[in-house]
Amino acid sequence: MTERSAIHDTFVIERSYDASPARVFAAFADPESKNRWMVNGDGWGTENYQADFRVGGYEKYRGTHEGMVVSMESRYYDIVPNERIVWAYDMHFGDDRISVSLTSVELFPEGSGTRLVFTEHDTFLDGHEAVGPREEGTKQLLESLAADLERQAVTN
Amino acid sequence: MLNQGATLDRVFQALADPSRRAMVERLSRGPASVSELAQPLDMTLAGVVQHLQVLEASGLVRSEKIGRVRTCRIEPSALTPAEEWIGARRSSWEHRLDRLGDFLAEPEQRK
Repeated sequence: MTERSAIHDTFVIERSYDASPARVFAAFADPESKNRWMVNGDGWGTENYQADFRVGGYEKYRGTHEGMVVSMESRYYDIVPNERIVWAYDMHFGDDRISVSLTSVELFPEGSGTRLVFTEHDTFLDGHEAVGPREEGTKQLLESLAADLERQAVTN
Repeated sequence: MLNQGATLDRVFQALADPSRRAMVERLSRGPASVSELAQPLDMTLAGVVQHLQVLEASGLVRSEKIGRVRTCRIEPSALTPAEEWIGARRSSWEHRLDRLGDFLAEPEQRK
């Protein structure tokens, strides 16, 4: 029997690129480009990838990773050209739904380049891919544990 | 691998409960007796013992009885695989966004 659990995590990644917001946006919007930097770069055996980049459109991926079938289905909820993309996606390992996520990519001009802010809210399900508890208490716990471990390493 | 997966499941199930997280946080500051653990929680001693059993089964906490007092302590090594898992989704996106940078650095071929 599967024990039920839902663990929540939010993380933010920022990057600056020496490319205009229009070029960065195009790298997400054009399926051929996205296939090159994202889909093929994961090192997974891609069986199928298709993207319909418009609000309400779906992006579907199916492949294998370490002998396991991995599938993802995204839906685009908000697209502002050169500024913002918001999508939600679920991820399956085999028949198990391991997570449901909401992701935003925001693009800000920075000189002649672009600052990208990537924010993802994850709900990890039933511990199938336990990537999770970034909740404040646990984060503090892990930090204090890390400090403990360092102290122990020093004293040992 | 299967074994590690099972352990991770138990660790995350153990941490999914706020009372158990409070107990682990308390123990991360130092060993405590069962009644000391129970004190800040609005819970019976029996309830605390039940949560303690879950924590012990996950390997996060160990306890030993000295005289009449059961003393609990954290087992930091139990969290290492969990910490590795915690960063996985984030790091896969970090790698992707680095590859986006490489992609954008390539000379434009079209247009």
